[in-house]
Amino acid sequence: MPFANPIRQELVRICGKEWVKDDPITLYAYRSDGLTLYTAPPLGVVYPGNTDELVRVVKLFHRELISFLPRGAGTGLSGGAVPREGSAILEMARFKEIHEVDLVNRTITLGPGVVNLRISEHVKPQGYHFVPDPSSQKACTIGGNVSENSGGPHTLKYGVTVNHVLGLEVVLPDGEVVELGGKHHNQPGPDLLGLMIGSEGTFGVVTKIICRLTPNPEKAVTLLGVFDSVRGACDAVSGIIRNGTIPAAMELIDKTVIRAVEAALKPGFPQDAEAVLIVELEDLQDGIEEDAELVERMLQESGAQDVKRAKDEAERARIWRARKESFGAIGQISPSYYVQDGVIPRSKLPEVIDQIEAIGQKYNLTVANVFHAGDGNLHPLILFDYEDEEQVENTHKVGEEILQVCMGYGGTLSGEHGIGLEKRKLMGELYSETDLANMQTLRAFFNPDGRLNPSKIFPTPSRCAEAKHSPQATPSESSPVGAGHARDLPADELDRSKLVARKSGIAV
Amino acid sequence: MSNRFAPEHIEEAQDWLRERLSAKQPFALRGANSRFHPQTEAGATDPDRLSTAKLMRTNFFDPDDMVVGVESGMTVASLQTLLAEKSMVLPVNPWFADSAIGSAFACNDIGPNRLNMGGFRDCIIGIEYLNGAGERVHAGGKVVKNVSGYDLFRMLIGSLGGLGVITALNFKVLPQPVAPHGLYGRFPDSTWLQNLAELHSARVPVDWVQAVSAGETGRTDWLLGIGFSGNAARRQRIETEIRQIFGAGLQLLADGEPHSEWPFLPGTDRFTGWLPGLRKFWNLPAQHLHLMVLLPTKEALNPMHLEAVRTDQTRIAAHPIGGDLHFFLDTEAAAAQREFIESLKPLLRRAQAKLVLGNAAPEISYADLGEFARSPGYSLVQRLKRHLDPAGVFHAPFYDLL
Repeated sequence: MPFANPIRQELVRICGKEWVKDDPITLYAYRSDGLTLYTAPPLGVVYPGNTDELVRVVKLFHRELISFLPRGAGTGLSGGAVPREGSAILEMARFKEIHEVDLVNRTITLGPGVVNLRISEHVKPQGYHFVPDPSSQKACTIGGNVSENSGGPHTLKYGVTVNHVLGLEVVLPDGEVVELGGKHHNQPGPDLLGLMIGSEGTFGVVTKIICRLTPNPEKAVTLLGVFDSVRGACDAVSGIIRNGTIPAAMELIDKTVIRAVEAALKPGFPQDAEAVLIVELEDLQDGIEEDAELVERMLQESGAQDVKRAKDEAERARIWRARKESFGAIGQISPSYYVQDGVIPRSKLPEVIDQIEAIGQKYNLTVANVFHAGDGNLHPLILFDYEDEEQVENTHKVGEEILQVCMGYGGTLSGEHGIGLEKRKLMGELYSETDLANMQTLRAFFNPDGRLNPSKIFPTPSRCAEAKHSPQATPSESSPVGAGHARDLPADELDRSKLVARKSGIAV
Repeated sequence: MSNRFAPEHIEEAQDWLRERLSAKQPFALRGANSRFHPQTEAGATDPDRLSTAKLMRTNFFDPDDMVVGVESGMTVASLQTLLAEKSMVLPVNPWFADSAIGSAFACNDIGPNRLNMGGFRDCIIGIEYLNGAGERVHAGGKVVKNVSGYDLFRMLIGSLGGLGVITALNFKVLPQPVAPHGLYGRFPDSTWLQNLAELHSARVPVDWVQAVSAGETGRTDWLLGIGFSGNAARRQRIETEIRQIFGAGLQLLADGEPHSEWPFLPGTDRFTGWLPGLRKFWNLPAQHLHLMVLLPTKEALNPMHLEAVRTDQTRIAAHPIGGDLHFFLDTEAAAAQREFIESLKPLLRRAQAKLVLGNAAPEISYADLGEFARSPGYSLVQRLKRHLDPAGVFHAPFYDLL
């Protein structure tokens, strides 16, 4: 269903003809984010070019009672950018201006459409970088990172997006523009900046971001511990942390993923290993060698069969490319996969990894593991065949049971992918009704009519403020794969190559 | 006469809150009574007060996972002592050792380690609080990474008791720094800021920087300390770089070694705050003025700003990297304090600064700080206050600024 004519005409007046799209191909392209297990076509897609245009579009939607949501690069993995039936998409790709670099304050001010990796590339000559480095950093945008409070491997030492953003310009669902934070590290009063980051595009549309810049490390030492069991590698993680050492990153890769990345990228991981643990230390050149030797010793004492060290920057880059592109490499060994994102106390890693393996065996599905071990942030990859309905069904069950295990160990549903559509029904198991109602009270404050990115995060309206404030906020379920959807376009109308997106667990 | 209540259990606090809610009776919050609270002293009415000082339990402490959860009345010093038993530290280091942790959190207090270790936004992982309906609300959890739902715990940072009663807090903690040391020296004027700007530009990874003005009337010199840590090779490198920039004359001390001119540094309160020691060092009266000035680092590194406020009565503690200056006025006279605040305003405007009131004569209130007490998005903050506290029971005049 495209925009109604009068709405379309007004959008064209605001943004220009080429920046308002509601043709079938566009609607298809925007029907999911990186989690293609959930799809729904948007009403249409608008590409505002600046804050003024965006405000006018938002006011139009507000006036015409049209629900809408902002979208970055669509790399999200929780269905957070899947449009609810009837929602329009605000595509933020044109907000890619880098406004200012301020090296004394160590800030960079930019638009939400700037690609994450571009930030670090931009300030690399000055010796700085932007810390959050999700695996999708070559494609994902800083606006999406703010929306999801994204992390990445190097957040173990340095923190996630909320720890590296100092200011925001935000357009609220009625078109009001507010500024939060600034170049100051602290501001008087409640930390609404911290509240806004990670709100999954349900509080407002971010139009400008002030990010913190971090000096590049003078030296990085990348170690590769080779283990004959995943459990052994997990024990090593706890041992290193217990010793008081905080590496910049500690990433665990199991044998299934090792096999996949070796086939795709050839990083030189030993193929007979059950797991490898990447440990990276960053600091001044002086003194880092002693720390590295200490960690090497701890890896050996934890049972590592071998401990390798990247001998130069090229080898280090190969290791990190293998880690960051490991999800994609899974395509070498499985037609489809579903990536989960749960968090547990890191000391429970060995037990939980055993249980995840058992859950996979119960449903006769392979569960591969590549995750941020230092944070206890798991990313089990459930391998399945999209054409096999039973496997699809079991994949959902495995994912859910893994999250149940995480919650059972005092963990949580998501460490960096967000709740979106994917996990909202489990929120009632993590939080009490009172807790959820209080979150929804916040949503009702920022988003009183529930028209900004509806149907995300919360299971169903109950006594919540959202339900009270929004008579039409009854969520419409987007369709899980295989379940069909009344508003989905028939596949035969589409370019067959596009189906790759449906069949893989990732965006293409 | 207003009512004072210090419950020992959260349920008692909840019952007390519900009584106030049903009567629509405003009340003010207290932590460990260690800080000036202008919302109570400056108001025309004397509201009831709820103290969290007896809520002091440890809910959990898992050193292997580097997380701790405590009730909000535990003092910062007690929490740091608990953590130190396992060689851990809360990476916030507020100045206010005797403050309740809930109070430090609600005031968003920071200290010299802000540069390297961050603030409450960087280490908070979970919270329990009583909301404006008298409900007990939990947000976040016990793990170090969590994006499940909204970060209500971050909303309550700096909320000054206006959005709810914080009853328990969960934090991510860190191992104590390895072999912390400091270089200390005396400088005749604010030119040390130029050296510091050079150090900042050179990206030397120091842990903290603090400069304090001399304690005696008529003196204009500064005492400067720069902290760093790590193994011997790392420390040697940093020490060398600092000395190259600042010149000779700096004295190297390990944490805990006494300094003849710095009785408050770097002793046993290394991790629990230096403010009490500074107040003693400066011999400040109880109702002295203490303004926390928040500004961008670039402005804080401008020597003109510090020189502009130096008088016989002013004392300054500066953490320029990170933009955190503390101005003290050595008088209890409200008129002099108000005059000093007014005299600062042109400078604050030029420096894009914000103000937080740390201590003052009873007659001084947030209103005296004017526009400088308001953060960007302040009107949104006011509306949020009305949304979350429709009965207006959480008495906090910060939210009533014009």
